[in-house]
Amino acid sequence: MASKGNLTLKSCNGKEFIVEEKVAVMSTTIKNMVDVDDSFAQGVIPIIGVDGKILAKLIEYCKEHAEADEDEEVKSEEYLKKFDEKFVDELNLNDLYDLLKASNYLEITKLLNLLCQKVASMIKGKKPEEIRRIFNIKNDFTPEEEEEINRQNPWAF
Amino acid sequence: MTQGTFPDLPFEVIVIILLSLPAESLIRCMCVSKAWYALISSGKFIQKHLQVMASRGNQYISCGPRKVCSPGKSFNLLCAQNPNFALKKAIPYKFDSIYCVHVCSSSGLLCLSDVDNFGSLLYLWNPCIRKFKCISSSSIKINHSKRNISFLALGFGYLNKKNEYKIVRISNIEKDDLPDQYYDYGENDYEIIEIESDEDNNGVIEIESDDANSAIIEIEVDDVADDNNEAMEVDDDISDGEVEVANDNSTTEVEVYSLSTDSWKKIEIQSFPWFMCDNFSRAFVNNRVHWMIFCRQINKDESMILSFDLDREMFQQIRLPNYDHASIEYVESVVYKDTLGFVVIHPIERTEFCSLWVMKEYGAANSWSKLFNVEVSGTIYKPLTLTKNDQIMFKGEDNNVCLHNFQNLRIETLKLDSHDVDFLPLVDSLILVEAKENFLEQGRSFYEKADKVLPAKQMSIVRAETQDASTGNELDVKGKYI
Repeated sequence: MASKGNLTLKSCNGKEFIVEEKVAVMSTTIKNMVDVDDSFAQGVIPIIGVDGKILAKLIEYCKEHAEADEDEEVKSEEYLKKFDEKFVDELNLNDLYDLLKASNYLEITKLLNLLCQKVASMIKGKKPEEIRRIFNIKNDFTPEEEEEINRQNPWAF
Repeated sequence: MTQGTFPDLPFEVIVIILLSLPAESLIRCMCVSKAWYALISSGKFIQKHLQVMASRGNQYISCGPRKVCSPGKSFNLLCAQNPNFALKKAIPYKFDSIYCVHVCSSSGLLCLSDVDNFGSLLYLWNPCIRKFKCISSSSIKINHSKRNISFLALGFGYLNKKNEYKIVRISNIEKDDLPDQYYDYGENDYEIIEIESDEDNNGVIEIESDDANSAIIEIEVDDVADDNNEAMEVDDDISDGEVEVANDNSTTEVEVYSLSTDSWKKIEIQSFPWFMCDNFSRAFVNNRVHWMIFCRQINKDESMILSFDLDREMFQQIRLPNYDHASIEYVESVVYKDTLGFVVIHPIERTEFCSLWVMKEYGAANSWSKLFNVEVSGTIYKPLTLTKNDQIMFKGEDNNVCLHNFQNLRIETLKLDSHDVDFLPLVDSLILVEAKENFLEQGRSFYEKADKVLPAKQMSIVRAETQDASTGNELDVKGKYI
């Protein structure tokens, strides 16, 4: 049981993390759960579909940002920017993908935006075919239609 | 993971990823699938994308040729953080003009005007995706060959809350050349703006203000619409003296063009007691265009800034601080970090100096302050532009471009030919993108899905100020490209 001001988060593979409430509520989803039902604040909050490794990463990110929000002097904007850069650079593709889905589900807006910018930088300049492969999207244009679109912006292809 | 790096991402996550991409990449992304095509070309997406890009500030300095028609010409988009890097954007061979004036830029679009038909032949041009639109002409015809105009001034800007681009045109036309019915606005009513003049002062507008701190002189506006199509009366007394622009034989017309309706409307004024020092202005801030003017007063002419609010469609005068120098070579109204300012070039002995004044609190005369006064090398005619890194751009010797940093006084020379080119700040945007209706039809279900997803809470990167835009009218420009 977590002490007052702390919350216990449990990953889908059974790992428990005791975190400060201000860190946990960076997730809008967790904040809503705690606000609506007091029993969550006392007991264990199950984080469905997020394993221990990813949950640890999420907590690492939220900790830095929650502390920065509390005391701007300790962690300057410059510091956070560097932290964010390092955080996304060290992720492998599998972790990036899992974190994207987890931060979307848990509604950690800042992190979701950061990860989306990272993906954007990866697909910038890529050809449609490569982008389809990355996101597993089926091409529903006929070759004639594709040619028609290319004619609108011949410089882009 | 066998099927792709990021399979099955929720659609709202895809939307956030796409909103971070530059317009050029998004054009390529339109080819990915019909859903993406419909999403990216939707008016809401274009507007959100513009907000995200604008929140990062002007990313580029557009450096484009004035001679737009010759083959192989292109616009260079200099990276605002480091102008040594540039993207090249070739001009499509569709301009009807040979030479263009770069009037102003605002939120992703440049407003260009033909030199020989200044103010009559206008274009909006988005170099990021190489699309331009020729502006339909106003019903007030200006005969450039007969030189029936004594002055013509332009302004251009984007109204964030209304998601609307507007152009204002002020023209002074000789009456003799006007046919009886020289404009025809059809059935449409237009707003009438009357400038209340004090008759006792022979039509000169009182610029004394009760509030000593207020530099803005409100000009009362009558909102009543009127279908009076007759040329306005000009007070005889104004024609005396040095105000050449308001005489018996000419009339000043103020018109506003809006991109959403692709049409012009006339703004009725009673008198126009100002002498315009600029043909066009790049100082667009607070929804207002700002030109340097002379205002005629009883004792002497006073140099001021005239603003035109593109939203409320009315004029205001703004007082300048006492910036006297022994001799002034050049004055221009500018925007520096979202603040109204003006640049003065003045020589002291044989050295040129450039100073920048800013009005820290818009409308408060006592908030004018001189930000810097730097010595600039060589003979400077005018500054080219201000960058976001506290730099002022000048044309240097041998047509090089010099960047003077006014914080650390460093001077940097760019390997860039400034001959016959013009510089304007620019935000990356998809505005004027084309979309084929038949593909939109097929991607409709996704379009509707996108519609629901777009105003989502995830948009925290958007500045608070720009969030209001989601409540504004949707500007749908697809297919408007001519």
